[in-house]
Amino acid sequence: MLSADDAGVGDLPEILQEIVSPDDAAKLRGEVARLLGTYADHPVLLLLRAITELLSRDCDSERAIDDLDAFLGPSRMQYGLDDDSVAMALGEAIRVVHRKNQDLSFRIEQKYTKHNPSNNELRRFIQVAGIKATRIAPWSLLVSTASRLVD
Amino acid sequence: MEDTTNQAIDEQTQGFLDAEEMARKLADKLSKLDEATSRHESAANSLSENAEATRDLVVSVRDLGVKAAEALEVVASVGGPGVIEHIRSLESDLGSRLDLLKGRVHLAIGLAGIAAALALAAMIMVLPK
Repeated sequence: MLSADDAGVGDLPEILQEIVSPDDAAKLRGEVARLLGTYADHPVLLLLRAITELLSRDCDSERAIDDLDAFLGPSRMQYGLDDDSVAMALGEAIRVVHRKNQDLSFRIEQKYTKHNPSNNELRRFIQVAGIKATRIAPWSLLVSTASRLVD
Repeated sequence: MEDTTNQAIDEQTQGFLDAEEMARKLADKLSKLDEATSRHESAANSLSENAEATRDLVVSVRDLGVKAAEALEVVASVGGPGVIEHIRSLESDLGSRLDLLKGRVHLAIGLAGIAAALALAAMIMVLPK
């Protein structure tokens, strides 16, 4: 995963599927934290730590949001993570976190949409997250289509 | 859109994406038809060509209306009201962030207004011509 071209985004669904309880999340959080000791800026590790933090019983949501900011900012740039992969990765994050806490998944979606993703990226994001887990992206897409009709 | 993910897409999500894609394609088609019609008018082309373009336009608009309405129905049923409800609950709980939240409420109201206008337009468009 660490050396994959997509920085391991393609492995996210399989990894997240293994989390069935808050204890699983806390255990994975510890493993990811250890790996971050060596690969401090790895984007998918940062995202995984954010997700597992949010899914753990002793969740520190602010720390998770900090990791998310790092994922969306310098980390993805450093590893050359393309926009479609970012949309897929955050779609996975929303899909999983939404089952536990809708407010927190909404915060992730807010963070993402503030980065002005393109319509194609929004479509990918909705496709992966599922429309029930999204609140902003579908509206953004429809408003975009509507504005083209007005123009 | 090509599915390169490992997750099965649920029916509602696929329905929304299909409807949105159809609406987008038809918006493109409308734009091209509009350009073509303008060219026909300026070149004083035959009435039959204009009539054919107009028939295509009517069909496209009707399909667009139906698909746009479907997409809006999906969004409204699963997310739209939740956005406004969420923002209102935050506003009542967090007085210190009132100014920030007011901006979001205005955005939500703006989006709701646009969506309502689109729904109205969709209804008008699907009315029998």
